[in-house]
Amino acid sequence: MTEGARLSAFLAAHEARAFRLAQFATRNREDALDIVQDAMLSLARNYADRDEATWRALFYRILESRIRDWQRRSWVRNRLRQFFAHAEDPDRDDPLEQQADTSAAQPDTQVAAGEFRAGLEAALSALPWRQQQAFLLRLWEGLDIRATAAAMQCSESSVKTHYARALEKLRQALEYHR
Amino acid sequence: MSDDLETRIRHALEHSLHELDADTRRRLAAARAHAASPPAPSLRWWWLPAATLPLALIAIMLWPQASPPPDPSLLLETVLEEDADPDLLLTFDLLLAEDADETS
Repeated sequence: MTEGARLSAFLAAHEARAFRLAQFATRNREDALDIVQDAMLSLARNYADRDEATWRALFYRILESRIRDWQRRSWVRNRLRQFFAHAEDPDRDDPLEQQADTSAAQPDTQVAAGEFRAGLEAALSALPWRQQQAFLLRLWEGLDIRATAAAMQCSESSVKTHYARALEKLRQALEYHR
Repeated sequence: MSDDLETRIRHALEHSLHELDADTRRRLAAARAHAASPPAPSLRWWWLPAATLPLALIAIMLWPQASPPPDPSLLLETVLEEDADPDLLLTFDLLLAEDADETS
């Protein structure tokens, strides 16, 4: 099997999960697709000659890095948008206008009873990004704590903390669906 | 309870993979094919052979003209071919004598 074929098989096995991971983080399909495509290209161009056993950790590390870059850009964009909107919005002092929309964090009010998966997606999307990624990489992607810490570029104890907090929040959010 | 919840979550997430829409799958497959294909030969240096000749010409034109100092004897021969002025001949004689002194 050629290197290109092995790489293609690896990407085929991980692309859908990577896409969902990015989609949970960005809540945007197009951005998630761009991030995954970028991560695929980066792995292929820079690390294809590495040992195949290292590809998974490298791929998710690249993916995390791309998501982080997206979040930084998003943060700047949102700040600018808020600044200009604030400057132009005459109702900015209206307390009702300032009230945050928390419906995404309350799946029981948003989805029908019994739709565990819809509730799960809403609860996962509402998690802080680090908790979300630690949880998904550990539970879903099956990375061990060390690999997750390497992918997230944080300590192993941070991974454990993020995971435990995420699980607790999900447990609370999904209590309704039990 | 957490173990049960984790299992349910894992199953739900796995199930969600099968429900990705066709367009998303198609675009992921296209991205994969693009990434796994060998990179096209780089065109970064295509201009190098074409630029060699003009660069060489410019270099030759700008090269400092390090011509050797004129040989006084050759100058004298040139002068002798013309209608020589005796004063000029004397000047050249002196010039040759000085040159001989310097070389010795």
